[in-house]
Amino acid sequence: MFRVDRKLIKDFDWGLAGLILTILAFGLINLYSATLAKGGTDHTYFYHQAIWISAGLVCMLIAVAISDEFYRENAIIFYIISVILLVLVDVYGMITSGAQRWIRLGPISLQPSELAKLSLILVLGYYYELKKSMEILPLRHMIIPSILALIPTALIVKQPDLGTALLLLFIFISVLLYEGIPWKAFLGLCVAGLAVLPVMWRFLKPYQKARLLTFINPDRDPLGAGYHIIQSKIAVGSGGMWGKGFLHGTQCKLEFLPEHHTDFVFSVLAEEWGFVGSVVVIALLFILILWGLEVARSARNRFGEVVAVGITAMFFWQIIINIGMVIGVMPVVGIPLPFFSYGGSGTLTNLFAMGILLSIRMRQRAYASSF
Amino acid sequence: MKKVNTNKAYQLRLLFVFIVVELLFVVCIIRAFQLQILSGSDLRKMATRQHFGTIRLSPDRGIIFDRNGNQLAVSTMTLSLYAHPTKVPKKKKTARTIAKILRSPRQSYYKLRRIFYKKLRQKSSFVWLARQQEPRKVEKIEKLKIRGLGSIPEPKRFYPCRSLAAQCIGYCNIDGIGLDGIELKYNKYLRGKPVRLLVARDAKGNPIIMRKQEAFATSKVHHVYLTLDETIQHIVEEELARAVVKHRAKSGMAIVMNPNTGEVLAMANYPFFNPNRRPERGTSLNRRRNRTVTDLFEPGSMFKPFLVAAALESKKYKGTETIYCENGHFKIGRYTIHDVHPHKYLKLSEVIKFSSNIGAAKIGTHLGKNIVYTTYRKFGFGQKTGIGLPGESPGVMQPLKNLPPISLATMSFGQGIAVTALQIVTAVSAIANGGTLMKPYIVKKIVDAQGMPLLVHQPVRVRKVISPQTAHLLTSFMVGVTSEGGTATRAAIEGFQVAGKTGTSQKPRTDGKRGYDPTKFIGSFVGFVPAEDPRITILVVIDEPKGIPYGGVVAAPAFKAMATRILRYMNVAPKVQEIPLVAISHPFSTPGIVMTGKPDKAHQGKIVNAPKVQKTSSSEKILLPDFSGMSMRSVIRWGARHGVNLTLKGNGQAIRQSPKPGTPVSPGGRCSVWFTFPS
Repeated sequence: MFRVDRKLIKDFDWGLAGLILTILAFGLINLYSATLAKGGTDHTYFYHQAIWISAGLVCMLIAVAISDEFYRENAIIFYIISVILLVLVDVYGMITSGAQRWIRLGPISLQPSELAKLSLILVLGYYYELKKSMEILPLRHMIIPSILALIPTALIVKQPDLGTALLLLFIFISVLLYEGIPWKAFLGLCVAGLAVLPVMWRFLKPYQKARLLTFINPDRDPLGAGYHIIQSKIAVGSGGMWGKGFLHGTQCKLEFLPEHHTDFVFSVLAEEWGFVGSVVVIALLFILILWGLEVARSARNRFGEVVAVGITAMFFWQIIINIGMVIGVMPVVGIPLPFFSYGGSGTLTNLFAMGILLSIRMRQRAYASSF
Repeated sequence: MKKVNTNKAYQLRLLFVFIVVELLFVVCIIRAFQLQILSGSDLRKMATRQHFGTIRLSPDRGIIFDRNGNQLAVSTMTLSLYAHPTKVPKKKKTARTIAKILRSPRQSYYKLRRIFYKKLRQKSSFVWLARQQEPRKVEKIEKLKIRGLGSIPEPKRFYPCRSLAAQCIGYCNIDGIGLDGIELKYNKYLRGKPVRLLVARDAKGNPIIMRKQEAFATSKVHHVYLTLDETIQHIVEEELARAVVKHRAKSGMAIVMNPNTGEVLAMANYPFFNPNRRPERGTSLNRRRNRTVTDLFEPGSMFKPFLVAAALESKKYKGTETIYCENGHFKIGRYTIHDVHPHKYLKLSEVIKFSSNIGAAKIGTHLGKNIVYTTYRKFGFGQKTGIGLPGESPGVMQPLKNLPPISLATMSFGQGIAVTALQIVTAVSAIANGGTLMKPYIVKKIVDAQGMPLLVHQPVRVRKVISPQTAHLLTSFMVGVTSEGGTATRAAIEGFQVAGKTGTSQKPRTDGKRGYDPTKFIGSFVGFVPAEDPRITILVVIDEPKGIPYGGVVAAPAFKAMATRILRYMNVAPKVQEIPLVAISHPFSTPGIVMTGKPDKAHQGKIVNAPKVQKTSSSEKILLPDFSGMSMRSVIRWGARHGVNLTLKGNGQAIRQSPKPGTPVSPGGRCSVWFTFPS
């Protein structure tokens, strides 16, 4: 399982690791400000997050040490475990914020939907690796991956955690498109998607409908469903060019901004660091995504390619949906910003995923240099 | 094992993915640019507006003084109790506790408890529980440290003299904005800069910073000095009330003016009202209006001097003519004019002395409408005087064109013309001062917070109306009115020559029919004294007296009573010394020194005895007011006015008293008041 030697360490992608650490540092500094409300001195959230990040970095190192072969061989087991956990959440989950998302394992609360993202990516890689062929797969080979994707998605929708469910679908579709599907299938998918939209509308909860409607017109209900988005826009906009300065954001400190340490953490950053800070952070995240795509492009096998694309897609969509929501170009969907938002499961998952990416990268280089 | 993928489809897909990724990131950056750079300042303003809420407090207001520096309207410090209802635990118990502390004779415990309970159950984040309460009571509540309750200091308008000149001074709403009278007209001076307490709020609307000092870092206010004299005003109101009550009249008004300057020394409307009570529980708007400038009435015979002035100025009359007065019946067209007493021949002076309508009608007709009109207008009728009080009316004169002869005749003796009380006083003052119409004024000066004058009103001559000779002659005619045989012998004052004129007019019918109501009269008297060197002009108007309505009967005695007391107060010596000169100066003009009729022995230590003079009407018990917040001077003045002996302890503002407010005391009774400086 662990196969790390000197040569591998030489092939470790220090650039990508440095980028991740930089982003993590930005995130932690911003979180320090975001969790200080009303001039208080309660650093609890900050310390918790620091601990989570430390734990996450350990996870990342472990993930790096694990060989890609091990991931591939055990992908199905991971997948089954995560599905079982999702079912368990339904049964034993504790209720928070009106949704069953957590499961308690001893002292730790686990969010199986986070695991589900990774296990889906791995199992997709396993499936594509089975096919070996570099050609575009015919449509009938899409059936099994679709089922694999839909099982956890359905379970997560049931929790209900629409955001993560959507993310799962987005990851799946991204992988499909990257790996290529027949033109007719692509068109069919688009048509099917459009056809499903009205049907989906009926299954949405009232608050979800309200969020979508307020996305179209935020002033529809400025103190209710539109409150988040209006407050977020005010916070971001009031940052101006250079921002209000670290710890000097008013909208967050005075608690106008809701969820300012989780889903809306980016608006704290935008308020305090202004346009300049926003651009720097968006650029760093953009580089991260490009780096992920490069890992995929240069992967030594199809498993590595699919997994790298899946992980990159996971980050990409989280980033776009979250930042888009904060600055008002996306509807409010409860998806946190990787490396910035407070949260244990998310941090662990994200860093573990980065570990897998680094592992694939490292072994690809080692493989390439062995010629 | 993977070959390096070079096929074209794969490259295309890669490009597609790259474009999508890049596009979405660029959208994010463009949007951030739009929000933060393009609309940044707007959103920043929105942010500021959001978390800096303002709580509007009634601003501190300047003091309104009388001409001698006595306070007529002041701001006292109060505390306003507020609550964040959502934070208050045990709402029922809390409501009970604070109702128990805040109850007063006017607001029962049960009523308050119900109100507070209702307010505490509200879902809002901020409610005023009780505004402008006594600091002592609110501090007591604060000591209980009930969660969710707090207080802010807020000034409250207080009128130490209660109903004194209330219609003239006006009043404010709870937010300290003047609604009428001087309070309204000079609101911008008195109010200074409005106090808006800036408080940071969190999203739940809870004020975050709120310290008392900040609330009272108050704006600069200006103080207004009136031309009114508190003592004269008091005399006038007392005598006016007495006359109205005696003649069971509907209402009354009186004005005292310095005829040489146009300063209004007193301006009274009866019935009175107490501006310290909130309007909703108080009095009708009719009571609160300053009718002396807003309301019109027919002046009646009070107008005859102006007609005679026209006659003399026109040179058509020399003053020695006699007029045939038709034995009491004079027909003009289909109308007949009557005199109260029939006369045959009357001298010009006797037309005024006996108030002959027929004589006046004949003079008016002889002069012609143009001369009559011009003279009336020169005296200021038909135009606002410009005294600077809200709601002043210009009066009504019939159009000059196509004026029927009967209208000219009736106008000559003051019918078919409507004027304000202030116009009459101003016009008669012009006769008194030798022929110059003065612009009446009531604000003497406005000073800033340091006492530096910003605006000082000087007497303003409007125009020369009549020659000094005419004025002199007219004055002698008017002296006849109060002399033996005149219509107003009851206005005569021993030792003084009084020039005046009575007026008795009918009121228009109110039932929609034309003509006058045969039962409703206005009895009035206007005069000045001493006639040879006038110091005061006084007008008394008694509206709808029961019984004999003549001005000489209902208004002249009130004039006499007022003038006698005012002259004594002003130290105007009578020519014939029949009254021994007792040193009675303004009893309260020097703070702390109170004189009685006897030589000064009363003011010893801190015990102030009430003067025994001038107290004739208040033998019945009165209720002790709530002194808290009042200045020592105001308390002394109150004691003096009501004949209550006061024991004063400490300095500053009154904080405690014994007996309690609302206790009945009789004149000569005792009351102790404790003072302290607000911390």
